[in-house]
Amino acid sequence: MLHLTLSIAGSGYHPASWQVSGQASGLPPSPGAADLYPIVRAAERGCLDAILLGHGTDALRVGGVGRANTMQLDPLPLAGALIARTTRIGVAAGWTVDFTEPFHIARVLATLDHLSYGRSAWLVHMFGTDALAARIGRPPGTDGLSDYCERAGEFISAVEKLWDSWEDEAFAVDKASGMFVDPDRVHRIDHHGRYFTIRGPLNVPRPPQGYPVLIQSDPASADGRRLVVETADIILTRCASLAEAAGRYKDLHRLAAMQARDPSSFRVLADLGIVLAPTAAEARQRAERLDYLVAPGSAIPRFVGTPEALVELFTKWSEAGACDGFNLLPAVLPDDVALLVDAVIPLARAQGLFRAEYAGATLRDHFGLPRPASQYREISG
Amino acid sequence: MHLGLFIYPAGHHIASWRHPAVDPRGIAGMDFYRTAAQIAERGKFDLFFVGDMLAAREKDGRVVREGGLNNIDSISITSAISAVTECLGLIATLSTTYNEPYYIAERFASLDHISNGRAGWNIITTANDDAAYNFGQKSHMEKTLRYERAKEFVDICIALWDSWDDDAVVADRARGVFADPARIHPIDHQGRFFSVRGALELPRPPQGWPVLVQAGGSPAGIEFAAMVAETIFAAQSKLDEARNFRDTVRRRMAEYGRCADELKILPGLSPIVGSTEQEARRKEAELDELILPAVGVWMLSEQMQFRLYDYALDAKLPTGDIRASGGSFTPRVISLLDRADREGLTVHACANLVAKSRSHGTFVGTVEGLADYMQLWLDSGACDGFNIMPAWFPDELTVFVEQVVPVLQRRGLFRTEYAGSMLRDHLGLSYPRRR
Repeated sequence: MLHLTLSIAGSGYHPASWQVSGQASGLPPSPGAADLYPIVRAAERGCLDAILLGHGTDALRVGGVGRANTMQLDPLPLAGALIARTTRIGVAAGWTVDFTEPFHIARVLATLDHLSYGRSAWLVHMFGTDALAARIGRPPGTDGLSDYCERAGEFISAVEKLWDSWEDEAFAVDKASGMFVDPDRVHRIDHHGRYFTIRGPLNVPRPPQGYPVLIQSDPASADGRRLVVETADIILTRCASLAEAAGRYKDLHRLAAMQARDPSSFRVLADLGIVLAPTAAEARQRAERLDYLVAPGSAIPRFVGTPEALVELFTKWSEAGACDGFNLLPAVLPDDVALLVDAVIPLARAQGLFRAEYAGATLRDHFGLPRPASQYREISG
Repeated sequence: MHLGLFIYPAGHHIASWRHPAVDPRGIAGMDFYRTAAQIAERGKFDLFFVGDMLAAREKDGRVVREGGLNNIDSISITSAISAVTECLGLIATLSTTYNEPYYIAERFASLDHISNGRAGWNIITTANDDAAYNFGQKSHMEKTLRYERAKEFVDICIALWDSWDDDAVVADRARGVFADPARIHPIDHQGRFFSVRGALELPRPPQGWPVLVQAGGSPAGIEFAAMVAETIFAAQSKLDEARNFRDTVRRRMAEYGRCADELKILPGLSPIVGSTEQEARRKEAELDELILPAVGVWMLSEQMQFRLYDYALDAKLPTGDIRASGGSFTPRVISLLDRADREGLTVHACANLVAKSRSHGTFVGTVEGLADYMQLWLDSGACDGFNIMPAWFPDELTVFVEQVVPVLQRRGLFRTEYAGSMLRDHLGLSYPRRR
């Protein structure tokens, strides 16, 4: 079964998207969430696995300041708002491990997971941009890539400890005995690492999913890739061809085997930009028009064509073992999402490639991922 | 009169989670917050207020058995609520001691955009040492320094919110210009605590800036509030104290060249009402019955900064030892010590007083009586309204909205409809111009 996620940003991932989207209304794109609610509801109607916020937004920064709709809502409050307007679809919020502390990320993501009854995901950005570094007031760049990956690895492991610091049974709320929290099942983590010192425990009960789903992009460096294969539930690849994607898929699984990671415990999704239209000629015209307005200059592989051709691509790539599904980056909102949900999904369903309804309640259920047990379970027995 | 709803898991009474009508399992899920917010909006409340803490509540190094949970993340809650309400103001709490200005400016600008102008930021410097240990610090930053940092922090956030002119988004499709770069002004801040270069990646928030809120009553907190705050969540439980506090803050504002009307003071008020005085008392007594001695002794120990766990419950409160221990006591604690001396109160009796107090104003009585009480405070210049802290959720909030709000409205004290759509409209605060 194929997995499909949808990334949303700006007016769509094409830097010229705002020039063609919502033309009927004549209104400028709203920086708020109102335009996004119908898009996310449509994605939920299509039973997509999750919405990704804050992924691949560099694609919008081409063409110089002021050319593209680069308005970026902070993915965290946006995730909160989208959770409130949906009931089944997962919601992933991007947050870099740079310039922040594990306690903040553990606390916010645990909260989002509780509010959504287990539908949250953390889109882990390993690298902040230099522009962000200046805004935060830290020197740009890193001390060296391997140190950097080591820090990211320690960061993620500290976040997981914090999520585990409340065992599942810790939130006892036993009215009769008066035990609100079971102190035997809440643990200080006493983390003393090279980069972080954290006492804990977290002050949020264990997330419904154990850990919110961890989504990471497949990085170019060997150190980075090792870390991602060790920690990610979902790995996003960015490959220009089927052959490259199939090779990458094998690589990732080979690395996982070397690290003794169960291959059924993670999924690989291929990033794919989409420009859709009912006929191939119209799709081509749409893409040409957009590219004429602003040359995209982005590294995101792009599909231009009909819903039928996209479903064909889904089939080919999955049969060739190139991925477990796709993370789709629509060129224009809401246009490409409308065709995705109304045309692509029904076709994929008819061919038995994609679910007709959600089977489980949590995002881990949608992805078929196991729910991790708390690492502190042994201590209290 | 302005009304806020102060959210706390299960309710503000320490034993609320044990109340038969409360479902304590649900307090982290969306349904709990949606229900509370929608009731408050039905009651035309100005705002929905969520506190935030960065450490678990512990006793002797272990999470507190009888009540060791505080609010889950306030930005997540308020942003979720923004999607299921139309007018209600949304105040989230974030610490200036354990965050970076850019992130916080971006977060609140986003909340203000997502909610169409309903965001407020409760600015805290974090009061407890425990938070330091979760952020790699050996001790909590000293208070004067914390407030200096907070001031610089807020100044940077304001500069970032102002980094786009109100008309920076031109969205000229014909020319292909989305935003006019000449109307976006990256900041270049070099200060004692922070250096920040760049602009926000968002247009100016609908309210200009989110409403700036403050909640501490210490001298440093009052100074900070007089300088920057537009709303104070106050803790005075007696009318004359509240009036003195409000007078002090308003006087201090003048020193900073601010007009006193630019700031609204909302003391916390936790009411329990009944159709008769007796019914209200009975409701309160039923709830007080559910207080476990251990939780009271823990609260008392925290407030007295003195370990009382090894004392017998029926022993006299060791006021001499407590006074000699060198803690820095609040006026509330000193008055409790005096009373314990005067009346010879036991540890248990004091623990019960503290556990019942809800740390803010309380009122137990009839609907009309509560309306009288609130009107008296307002007319006496003790406040601009109240932050309502229901004893338990959602029933006591429902009672307030269905029974007390109509009386306040009938008396012309409270709005019957929202006049504007933004939090600044509700509070009667002006929209800040770009600095």
